[in-house]
Amino acid sequence: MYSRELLKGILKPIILKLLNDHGKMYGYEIVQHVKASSQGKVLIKEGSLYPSLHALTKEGYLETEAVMVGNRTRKYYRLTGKGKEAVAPAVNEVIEFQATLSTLFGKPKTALS
Amino acid sequence: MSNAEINTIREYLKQHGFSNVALIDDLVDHLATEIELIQADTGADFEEAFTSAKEKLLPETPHELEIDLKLLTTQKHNIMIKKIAFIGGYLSAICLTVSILFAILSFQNNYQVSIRRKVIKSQYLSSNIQEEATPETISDIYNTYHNETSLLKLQSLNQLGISQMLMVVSILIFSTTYLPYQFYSRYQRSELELLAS
Repeated sequence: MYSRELLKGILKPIILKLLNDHGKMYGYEIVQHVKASSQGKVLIKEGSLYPSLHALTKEGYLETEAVMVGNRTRKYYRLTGKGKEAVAPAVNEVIEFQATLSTLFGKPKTALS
Repeated sequence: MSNAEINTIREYLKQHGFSNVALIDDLVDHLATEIELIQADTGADFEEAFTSAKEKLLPETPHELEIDLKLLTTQKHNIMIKKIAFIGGYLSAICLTVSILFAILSFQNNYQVSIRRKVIKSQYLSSNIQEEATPETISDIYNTYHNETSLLKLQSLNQLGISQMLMVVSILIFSTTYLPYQFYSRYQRSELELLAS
């Protein structure tokens, strides 16, 4: 599991990419999906997820749709037009950052190299 | 999950300082989903499942979540307010400094005028004025002295005017930018402290 500090900067691209791929998702679904896709290495804490989701909504990247599930309200988050435009730059930035980190820290060496 | 159980979750959040309705709705759904899964997996009752869900999902001090949300959603707004406040504070300080400079120059010039008049008067009286000079002649002489220093006196008055104007501008800028920022930030701090307590 990666530390909270490492995940802090990439939470926004993760949310944007996920919603771009899946259309609409609710908070619990996002946490579980990221956990499953990363084989438990990326655990998004609720304390980070909801402030980020609300901030992205306020900035106009996401919009919400409230649906009644039993006797409680479930909010689905989906990308707005502005959000869709932000996906590619956000993902590219992470990929570039990943490449820079590889040059900084070096790629893991195999036993034969 | 029953209405009463949903209300229990909602009340728990409210008791822990949550006031943002949108965030409460999100967390109620999140906790309720987790509780349902725990109950399905272990067969635990609502209270046990709720305790496990709280321990698993919420930070040690749950209201931190709302504080984080507040900080995150007002970050840009706060940076902009800070920028305006500091630029205003800087301009106000410059205006005040220049105003003081002009006031000093004005008082210096005014002082020079009075010194010059005294010097000219004593020189003139000692060298030119005879004892039998009439009051009209003396009055003419004084007028001449005043004309000789009037330009400096006018300059002094202008400088005082500029100084006063800059002082007013400085106070206006300060009271419309930096001062409201100070009140606003103290208000926000006290609100966060209230939330934290």
